[in-house]
Amino acid sequence: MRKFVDRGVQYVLFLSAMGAIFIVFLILFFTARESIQAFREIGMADLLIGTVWRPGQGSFGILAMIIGSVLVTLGAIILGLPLAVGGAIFLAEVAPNWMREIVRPALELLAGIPSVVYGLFGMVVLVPLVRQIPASRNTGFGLLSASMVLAVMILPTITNIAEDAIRAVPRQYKEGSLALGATHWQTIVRVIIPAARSGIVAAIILGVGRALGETMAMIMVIGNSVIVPQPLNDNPLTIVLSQARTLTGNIAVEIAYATGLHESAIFATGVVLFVLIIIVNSSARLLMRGEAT
Amino acid sequence: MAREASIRQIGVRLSGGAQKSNIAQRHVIQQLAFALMWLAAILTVVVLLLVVGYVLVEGARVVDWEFLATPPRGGLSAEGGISTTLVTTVYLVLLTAAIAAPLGIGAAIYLVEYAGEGQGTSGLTAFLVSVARFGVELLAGVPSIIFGLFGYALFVVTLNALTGGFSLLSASLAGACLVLPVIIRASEEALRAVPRAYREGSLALGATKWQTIWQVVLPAAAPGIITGIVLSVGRIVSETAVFFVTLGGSHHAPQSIKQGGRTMALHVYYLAMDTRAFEKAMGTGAILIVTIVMINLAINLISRRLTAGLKGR
Amino acid sequence: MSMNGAKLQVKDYCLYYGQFQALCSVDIKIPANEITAIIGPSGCGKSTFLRTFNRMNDLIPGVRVDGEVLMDGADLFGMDQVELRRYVGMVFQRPNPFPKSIFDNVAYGPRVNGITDRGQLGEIVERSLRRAAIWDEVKDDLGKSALALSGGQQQRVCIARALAVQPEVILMDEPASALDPIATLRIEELIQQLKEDYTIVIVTHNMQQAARASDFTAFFMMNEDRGGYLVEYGPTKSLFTNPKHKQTEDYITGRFG
Repeated sequence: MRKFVDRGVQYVLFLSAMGAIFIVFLILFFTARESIQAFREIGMADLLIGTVWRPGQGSFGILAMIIGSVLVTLGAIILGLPLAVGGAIFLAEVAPNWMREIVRPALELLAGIPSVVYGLFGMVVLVPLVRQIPASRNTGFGLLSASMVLAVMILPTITNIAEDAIRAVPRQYKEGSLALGATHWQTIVRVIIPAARSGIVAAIILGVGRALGETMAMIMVIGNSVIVPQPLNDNPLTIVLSQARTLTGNIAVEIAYATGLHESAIFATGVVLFVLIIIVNSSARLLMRGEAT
Repeated sequence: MAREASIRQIGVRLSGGAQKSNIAQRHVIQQLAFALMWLAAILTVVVLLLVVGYVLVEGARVVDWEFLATPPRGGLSAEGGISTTLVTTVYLVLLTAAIAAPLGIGAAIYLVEYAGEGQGTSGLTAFLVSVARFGVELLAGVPSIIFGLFGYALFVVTLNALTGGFSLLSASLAGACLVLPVIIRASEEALRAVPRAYREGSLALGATKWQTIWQVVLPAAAPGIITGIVLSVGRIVSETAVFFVTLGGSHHAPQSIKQGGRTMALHVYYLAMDTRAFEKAMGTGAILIVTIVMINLAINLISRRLTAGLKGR
Repeated sequence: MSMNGAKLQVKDYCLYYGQFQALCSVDIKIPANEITAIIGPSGCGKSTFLRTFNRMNDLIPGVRVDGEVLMDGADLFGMDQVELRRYVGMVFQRPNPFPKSIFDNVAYGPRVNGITDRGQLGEIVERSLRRAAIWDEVKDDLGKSALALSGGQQQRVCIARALAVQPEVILMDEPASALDPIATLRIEELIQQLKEDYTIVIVTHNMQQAARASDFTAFFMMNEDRGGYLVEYGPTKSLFTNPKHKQTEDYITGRFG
């Protein structure tokens, strides 16, 4: 009897384990099924390269959203990377213990704050600030505000993984460098960071993946206009003040009332996002595994 | 000074004294670089204080007992509190955990105890298991809006009759998919950490594999597994995108699992975007932050108990 | 032993890790251009003592020192740490070349000291690799990763690396203990050649090695509080054939490890 129960349990547990594959399969199947209509009727080319998204008039180009996602992620990396890598080096090599006790929990807390709260803070504090920048049509909502918010959101991710990578560098390298008469900083720059390079790159890539997938905070501060971001006036820098829409925002904002081909196009947006993130995450994982060998 | 003299004494014999030392320059560069590192760290802490501080301070103005106990008036009105959202959040957490925990823990048990190292599975089973592992990794990287989209397509639309469309049930099912990888990973780790000796001791006494797992391994791995569940609770509380498209936006508390509602996180969104009631949004946000902090503290406490237990108290 | 030619001088030197006294009242004069071996049972502070001379102990938090350590009469602890390490080089127990090319490994020291001219670096690298008796084996591919070499070759590259900054003292912490017998022999031969131009202090747990390869030997022991102290010091020949202390004799004849 006990043996019977034992076997039975094994099969049940096996099914649980297969549950993960089952769910992935379901997600892929459903998303694909719903999006097929869009790919067939609109065509991959028009969908991906078309800049006009006006469902009411039958235009379903998501290029503007792709550019929006890419630009806001780029902005987040530009703003956040120096802080993240600097912070990682600080925590791993420079910080006295008491400072570590402050910064680490701070990062943990930053990581735990819900994205809507970041979005709210962005709306209430950052957007009015950005609106101060003198440029016509500057509403405060746009790439700059969104990049700032996103930078803070991906900071903990990048800092943590980069710090681990730096700590993983064997002590002998550091000792060898110091014994040759190099300063601590020279050791960090010439030996430790190069040795931790693939781990740091993996951290950045994972941050990119996280940024691409962010939805709610983006909807709240980026403006959601379906335009390809452009400078507001002659000054090319004002492109950061342009409103935009991300792939994630496109999905969240329109899915509830979209029907038919429109709905299918939203799912197609989801497929594009899914593929993008899988590529990003896989390359990060490959890099990290390469380092371990 | 004495120090300069010492270095010069030694340096004189070196390479005909021609090599001028760049040591001062290097020290200056180091000081500068370290100052920048300090700046980065301080800036990080400042940003945290800014965001959290602002929300807590602004939110505290609005939060009082009435705020917590009255339901929101709904529509575009900013009146009322957040009582129904609190209730909805709790329901959602319980339902999602009830779905995801058994599935996730079960999967982890299989992966570690039946298909782990030294179990000798082969052929089709082994292949399926490696696909399953890959599947978990994949799931962990999927952004939450995709889960929302999928949840919408499957649970809200296709299975409308069963789930009631936008409802607690749809949202929990979608949310369960989201947190499944978290629970599986934490449980796997916890199970792997249980010393082999425990299992071998039990089996040597004539217990079956399942009896061993149920009575010896699981209790030992409990803190780690619980950590995983609490982590996913935190996830559910702060997640918005998934539930945005599966829960509907009703400001009423759901009377059954086939009804919809809004969580606190969703309420923040609606207050900010639709109603423009920023003070109340801050208040709700403040409650959210406090909740998350308490959940994090709980996790830390459990982890500490965990490491104490492994080291033999 | 004569007072002249003392390169390194240690007076009443003590080292503490927090409350624990790791080294007690060491007095020793290390002569220039000779090979001085430091022997003793494990745990008696030999490596710690060695690391005094390039102040690598300063890296450990909570370390405190007492007494004087002089190099050419100048106070070691009053000097700039970073500069000191250029003049006092170190070769470690386990070869630790950087994950860079052979060229970049050897050129590392000169580069951090400000030499950037490619031609100059090339000269220094070749000179150092020749001095370390490994030039012929690697000259055809200096761009190869140093990690691709055998253990013995890696150690000689590390020696070349240390030589590249033109130190006056070379500290060696059991440089051959991780190597096979043949590689060990080559390292010992190399050390003999190097003493012409450098003062060498070498820690070894291999007594035969100390007996055949060094000119002077210092014997350390551990006291009841697990602190290290200098028992005897003198020319190798006389210490091994006619030790002054019973403890030295016991150790040399293998009566304890």
